Formats: sequence, C-alpha cells, structure tokens
Amino acid sequence: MTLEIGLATLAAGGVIGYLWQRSKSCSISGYRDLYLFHDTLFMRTIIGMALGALVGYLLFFRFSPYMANFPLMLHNEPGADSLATLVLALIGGLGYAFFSVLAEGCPLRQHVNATTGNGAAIIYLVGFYVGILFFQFVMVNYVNVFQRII
Amino acid sequence: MALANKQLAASSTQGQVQRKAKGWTTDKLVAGFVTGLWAAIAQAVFFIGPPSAYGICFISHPSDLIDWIVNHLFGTALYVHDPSVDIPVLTVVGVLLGAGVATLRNKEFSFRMPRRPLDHFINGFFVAVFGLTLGYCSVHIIMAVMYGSFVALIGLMGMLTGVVISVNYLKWRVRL
Repeated sequence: MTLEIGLATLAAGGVIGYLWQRSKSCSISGYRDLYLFHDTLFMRTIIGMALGALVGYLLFFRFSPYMANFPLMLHNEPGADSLATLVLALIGGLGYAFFSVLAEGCPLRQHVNATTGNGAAIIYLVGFYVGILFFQFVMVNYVNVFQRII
Repeated sequence: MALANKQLAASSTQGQVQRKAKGWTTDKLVAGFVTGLWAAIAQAVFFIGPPSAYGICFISHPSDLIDWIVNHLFGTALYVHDPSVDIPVLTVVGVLLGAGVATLRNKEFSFRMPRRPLDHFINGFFVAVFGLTLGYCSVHIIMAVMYGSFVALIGLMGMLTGVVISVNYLKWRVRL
C-alpha cells in the first residue's frame, strides 16, 4: 500500500510539475497581484485549485470511506481543535505569506523554477530544507511548550 | 502610490524576470484544476491521509521526505506523517522530474545567479519555519479549506493578512 502511495505521488508530482512549469503558475502571487495591481492572472491558479478540489470531492465523496467528513463543512482534524492550534495557524500563515511574497513565489513555484537553472530558487531551496531541519530539531520543542501553555 | 506600484513592478528585485515561454504552454486555470483534482483523487482513491487533503503539500511533503531520509541515515525520530512512515511521499521528486523534463524539452535551462543570494536563503528558511508552524502550504490550504477544515480557514486568513503586510513593506522599501 505504501509503495502505491510513493509511486502515485511520484507520478502525480511529475504531471503537476510539468503543468506548473508550462503555465508558470504560483499559488501566492495571485493574492499579491490582486492586492497590488488588481490583476487576476495569477488568481487563475488559485481558482483552478479550488474548483478542481471541489469537483473532485463532490465526485468521490460518496464512494470513499476516507472522505466521510467532507459534507460536514468546517470540521476539525482530531486533536486540532485547541486555541493553540488556531493561534499557531494564524501566526504561521502570516509569516509564511510575508516571506513567500518577498521570495516572489510559493515553495512549489520555487521547486519548478529551480529546475530552469534559477539560482535564486536554488538558494531558496537550500534555505528551505535547512529551515525544515531547524524546525524539526529546535522549533518543534517550543511549539509543543506553547500548545501546553494555552 | 501609483508611482511606488510602477517602481515595484519595474524593479522585479529578486531576479525572477518573467520570460516568454517557448513551445507548448497551458493555462494557469488548467494547471490549478489538475492539482486540485489530484488532491481529491489522492484522498478518495489512494487513501493518502491523515491529515485530510494530503495529496499535495509543499511544506509537509518536503518535510516528510527530508525527515524520513535523516531518520534512516542517523537513526533520529523526526516526525513524519502516517502515509510516509514506510516509504515517503515522493511528490517533490515527481515535481522536480516533471518540471525538469518540461524545461529540457523546451530548451529553457539557463543558469543565472541572483544579486543577493543571502536574501533568498533567509526567505526559504523562514517560509519553511512558518509553514511548518501552520502545517499547510498555500496549495494544500486551498484543498483543506474546500474540504472544510476550520484550522485551514484561519491559516488562510493569516496568509491573506501576511500578503497585505508584505506588499506594504515592499512599497515602503521601494519608496526609501
């Protein structure tokens, strides 16, 4: 089963990577351009994602036991209904968007850009993976403490 | 205000200048739609989860992959999500391969160094740290909001606020 998941994500990633490279899509530039220039070109990616997910969920939720929660809008994951989780989501979202706008692209866009030889994206990815390890080794302890306090 | 906007548009400071694509291209709407559809297929057909809507995420999937590798190399016990325990999700590898094939087929590869490399390193670092604090990337959060996650909705509001603050910070920096 897990080999299936590995291969499925590899194949889907390949298709998505190809399409995102050919369409120069980005999932954060849409908000930036809409606010800054009132330009909706990059919002097409975000609208497409929302439509695709909605159509997919509506198609599949009747057949799959893994989607039993879907019609119950605004549910929470088990263990993710505390105030601490909401505060962390708000802070995390704020910081993520702030630095993504400075970097001129979401992480998926940066992975795609790196394959075109864009040095900025390659250095971004080095920082990105160092950041992941920093979070997992150091920050995760503070996040746990924060969740215990609130 | 208009002048600052023009300056900001003209500067394109980070060296990611938009170039006209050669060869076959597709609409952003199509790319987004396929991505969203995959999130539903992943959950309904391949049972990828928990968490919900986990078909694609460019915070958690890179994190799962790198944590899995570090765990197997150094015997650490870094957190990986349930679908990645035995074999990690390989979306990152797939995207790099897919985008790499697209780049090579259309002869778009050209290596170019940015002017201020440290800025990009810092941006990547903090995107990862804040993204893991949130638990979603800007792709996954759309799927999760469509699925109905309240935490994701709060995260998306945080994101929109972050975009507004960041754009105003950029305007302020350009005006100086």
